[in-house]
Amino acid sequence: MGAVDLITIISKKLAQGSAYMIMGPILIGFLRFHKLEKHIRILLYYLCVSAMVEMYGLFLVEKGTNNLFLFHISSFVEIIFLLFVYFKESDSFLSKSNLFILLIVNSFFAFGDAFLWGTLKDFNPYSLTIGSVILIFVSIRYYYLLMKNLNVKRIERSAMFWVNTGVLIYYAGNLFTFAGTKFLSGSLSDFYLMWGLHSIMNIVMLLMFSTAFIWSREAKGFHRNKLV
Amino acid sequence: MDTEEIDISLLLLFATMGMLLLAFSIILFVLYYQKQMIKQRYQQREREVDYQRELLEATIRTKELEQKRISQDLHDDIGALLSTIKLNVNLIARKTDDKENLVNLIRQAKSMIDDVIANVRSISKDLLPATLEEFGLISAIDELCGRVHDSTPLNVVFNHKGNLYRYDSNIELAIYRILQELLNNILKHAGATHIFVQLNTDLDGLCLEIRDNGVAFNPDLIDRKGKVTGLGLKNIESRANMLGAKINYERSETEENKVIIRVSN
Repeated sequence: MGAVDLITIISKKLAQGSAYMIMGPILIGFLRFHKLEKHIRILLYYLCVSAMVEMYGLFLVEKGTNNLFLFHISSFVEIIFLLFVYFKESDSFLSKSNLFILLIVNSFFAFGDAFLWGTLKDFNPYSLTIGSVILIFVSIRYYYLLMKNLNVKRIERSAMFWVNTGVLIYYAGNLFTFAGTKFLSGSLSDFYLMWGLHSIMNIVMLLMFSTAFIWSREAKGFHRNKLV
Repeated sequence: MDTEEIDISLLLLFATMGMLLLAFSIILFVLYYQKQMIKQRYQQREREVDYQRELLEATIRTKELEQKRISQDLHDDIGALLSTIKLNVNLIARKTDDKENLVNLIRQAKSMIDDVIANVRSISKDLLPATLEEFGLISAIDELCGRVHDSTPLNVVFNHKGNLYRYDSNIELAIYRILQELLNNILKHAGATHIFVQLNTDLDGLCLEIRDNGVAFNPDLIDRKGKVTGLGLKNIESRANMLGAKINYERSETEENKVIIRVSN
């Protein structure tokens, strides 16, 4: 077995693993549903939608059918849900007008990748890259406001801190994967190597989300994480 | 796999590692910085609370000293005089046939009663000057400065600029007491010959400035964080805090000590 085959097998296993691992945070989320803050519940709903898409994607892979159209849908929906999580966390952190602008930009590139300069059967690098840049910026801004306002005493017990950390690691770690996939399509081993890394980043993000669900506390004021 | 593809894949790999390193650095920095800032804020709050407690203790101690002084004044001056008056009255009762002695005793008793009345008035004025209540802060300060000028070797000048506003009675009393304390300090410690008191009043508030040509203000009485340490100064600070006033202690270029108190309406 050559190095190329090994990378391919590991990458496929990681992809499967990260797809099934989504059940972990969903389970924790539902077990602690009544203790989840409102914006954290949005995250749980997103994970449920994402799980359904992942399962259907795996089913299509087994059948040998192109499942890239699902990636178009899931990446578009993912960015919308995550932006709503930040919007609901604090009105002043992400205003309605800013949210509207970001959604328009994301939608434009998602539409373009699907119907203008690409197709649903091809990969969607532009919308993923733009979406990654948006969420990297949003997550760094969140950290900045956290340090500026100092209204969270124990940051490691704040649910939103863990959500934000997961978002930053995932999108920062995958930015170049998303942007550069077009250039790797000629080499399967490189493609699988980068997407293996993507799966690892996805697993890390899901672990962060699980931690967020564990630490989330609803409306008693002590662990609330409102940025002003 | 050609060289170009290897270069691109390596580039992407290194770029990804770089982004991850950056992301982790940001996360660790946020964790460390936030904890440090929270810790500093907490320590600062504790220091503020301790300082407020010290100010409160100083206020209580000053009140107790004042009560002790009043008690001593009453006992030593008025008490002693009243006892002597009583003796004289007893003697008067016994010596009804000796007219000359009788007149003398009555005269002495009357003189001592006058002294008692004067002492009671003085103690009462110290407790709450009637001028302050009836005519306001400006008149009360004028009277106080006049009294200090007349009763000590100091040359005390008072100047007022602005309209004759009346402020809330608590504000006026607090400012009056601050001025009393400052004049007292100058008398006791500064060795000054001139004191200049300037009061500016307007709708926005008032500004009281006290200048003296005495020895330089003792820097030991204010610690490195700008907090006062002497009892009298703590008392002043306590009253100023109650008013929301700002106090500045300065030494001017003309070798004068300057204390400026600003109160906003």
